[in-house]
Order: sequence, then structure tokens, then C-alpha cells
Amino acid sequence: MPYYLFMIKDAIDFQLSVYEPENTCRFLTRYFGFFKSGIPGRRISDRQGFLICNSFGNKYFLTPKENTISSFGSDEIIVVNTDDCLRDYHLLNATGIKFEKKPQYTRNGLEAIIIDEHRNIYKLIEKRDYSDM
Amino acid sequence: MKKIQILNNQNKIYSEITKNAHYSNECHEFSIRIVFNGSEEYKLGNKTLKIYPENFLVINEGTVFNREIFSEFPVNTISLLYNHQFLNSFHQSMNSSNSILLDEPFPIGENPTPRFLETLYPMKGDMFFNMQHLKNLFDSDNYNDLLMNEYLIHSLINFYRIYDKEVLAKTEQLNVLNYANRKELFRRLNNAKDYMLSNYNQAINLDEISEYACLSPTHFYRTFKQTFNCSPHQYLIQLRLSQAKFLLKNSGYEVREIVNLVGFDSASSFIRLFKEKFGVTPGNYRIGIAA
Repeated sequence: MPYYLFMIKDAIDFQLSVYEPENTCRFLTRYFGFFKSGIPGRRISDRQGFLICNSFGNKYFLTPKENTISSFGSDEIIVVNTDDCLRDYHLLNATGIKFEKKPQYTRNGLEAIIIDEHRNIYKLIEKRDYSDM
Repeated sequence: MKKIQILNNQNKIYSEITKNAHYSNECHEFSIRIVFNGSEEYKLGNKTLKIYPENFLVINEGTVFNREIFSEFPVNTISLLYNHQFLNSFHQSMNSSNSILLDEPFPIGENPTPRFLETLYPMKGDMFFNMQHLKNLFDSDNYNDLLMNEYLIHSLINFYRIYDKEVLAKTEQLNVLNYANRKELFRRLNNAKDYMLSNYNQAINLDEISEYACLSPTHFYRTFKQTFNCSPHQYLIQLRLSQAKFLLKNSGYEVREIVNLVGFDSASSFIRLFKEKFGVTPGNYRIGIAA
């Protein structure tokens, strides 16, 4: 359901260590408008992983993370930018995605947290520029 | 063009785009009133308030008012109307502890409807962003009851935060011992602020503003500064500069036209003050936005 545009970070070919890369890849393509890129399960620099890209053409390589005990706040967070956090919270909620934290106001904007079944943490963030007010 | 959406919980959203409209003796639920371009004039009792895009107005349930729009171009307005029970429940959730909310989720008896100062509040921060999103959704005709309601709830959350900052904190700031006097003094100072917000583009002076506030000029000057951390004159200048900045960003008016529109006497003093405030000349500010 690509009704909105997303990107993780501005960096190109960013590498992300995630739990269950294949499922994470599926999650990102299904809900956040990412596309699979290249051959699934390909190797890059001797590392197994999944290559995905966003609608801006930025590529991200998902590699398996060490299966250590995850503690919220210290784990790597997958930042997903949105232009309307409330809308996407509502739409994702309607598809059955459970939010760890509902949209909350921070000094950077509006943020919500999702933790998937594999303990990957996603931060949905709508950055707001308050400096001009 | 008018559009109305009534949500399942009886909250309502009214949108209108018009050049010319006059409505008399309206009386509704608690409402938040917004203008996205141009202005709309409201008359509440003997008070006249003009809403511009940098402000929004709050009107309590049961208040009778008139409103009108006379403009060369279509003015886009949105009003959010909150159902009595919904507002009461929201107010209770914002002002009660978790234990009370757990013990008495459905309070027995009728609670008095919360009442707020009917004044112009700054349209800034999260309130601004949420209103833009709400407008986009409303304009798209993609009506979704739950999502609309989400925006309405967040608009109330944002309003409560602004109310705390602009009314409760500033009332406390006044150096008057008696609470009733402090409240009354703040109400009068706020009337003066509303007068400036509604007439900033006119040639208004301190005597005129203090008379409107029913305060002597010296008392008004001293207490205004104490409350809003700047003199009435400084406040008026900031207001004009902010409006000029908004017009530079969002309109095609030339700088010399903006000087007149926002109430400055001369272009040179406007350019000097604008540069002092924002660190850039009006012309360069506009070029920077376009780049």
C-alpha cells in the first residue's frame, strides 16, 4: 500500500543490522513502501543479507544482527521518516500493526514506536521545523 | 463553497471558502476557528476579533456571536466543533489523576462544561502542523472518521498546551496577590492584545489600546510588559514584522505593498527593523525562500 513516501536515512547504501532480515525486508516492503532490489539473499562483501531501496532510489542492505538480548533504548533503531505521523499511525494501526508508543510530541516533531515480532525497533518520525515560529 | 462533516461522536468540522459572507447570532458547541488565508472578523458581545492565519480563536459553548468575511479573494476557513460530552471527557482525562480516572471512568452527574478565555491564540508549533494536515485531509475528500477524530483530539491536546502557556502561566506571572484581581487584570490585558492582533495594520497608539483595556496608560504599560515580556509598542512591531514575514513567504505582494499592508509608516524603517529581527533584509528573505 504505497500511499505515502518513506525513506530511512539520507545515506545511500546504508547497512542495517536487523533481526530476521528476510522478515524485516518483507515488513519494510509491505508497510513502508520499500522495494526489493536485486537478487533476494544476495551476498555483498561476504555478508549475507537483503538489499532494498526506497522510492528515492536509496539502497539499504539488511544484514543479520547478533541475537543478543534487546533492551529498548540501547538497540539500533530503524528510523522511518514520514510527512504525517498521525495519518500513518492511524493507517498502520488499522492494518493490525501494534505500536509500542503512540505518537508523542518531542522537540524534533511527532514520533511513534513500533517493535516487530523479531524485536526490531522502528521509529516513525515526522520531523517538524519549529525554528520559524 | 461549504463542507461539513459530522463524525460518529458528533464532533463536527466546517470548512468554507468564500469572498463574502455574514452570519448573525450563531451559537454552537465549544469551537476552534481557523483561517488559512486572508481574515475573518468575529463579534463576541462588544469585542471585535479578527482572525489571521497566524492566530486561531476559541469560542465557548453557548456564546452568541456574529462573523463576517469581506475579501477580494476567496478566504478559506475551518471550524472544529466539539461535542459537549466529548469535551467534558477530554477535559477530565487531562486534569485528573490516573487513579481517579480508573475509579470513576464515567462520573455520575453532569459536569460543568470547561470554559476558556475567548481570545486569539498563536497558531504555531504542533497546532500549526496538525491544522495543515487536517486541512489536507479535508481537501482530499478522503473522509475517514477515525483519522479525522485523531486530528481533532490532537488539536485539543495542542490547544491545552497553548492555553497553559499563554493564559495560565501568564496569569500566574502577574504581580498581584489576589487571584480574582490577577484573573481580571489578565483578561483586560488580553483584550488589549486582541485589539492589537485585530488592528495591527492600523495607526493605533498606547492611549487607544489602554482605553480599550479599561486600564490607565501607565498601569497598562507596566502590567503588559510584566505579562508579555515586552512593551505594547514592541509587541505591535513584532506582530507587524511577523505578518510581513508571512506575506513575504506566502504571497506575491511586493515589499512596498507589504509595508502598507502591515501598518508601517516607511519602507526604510520596516527594512531596518526586519533585518534587526531576522538578520536578513525582506528582499533577501524572499529570495532565500525561493532558492
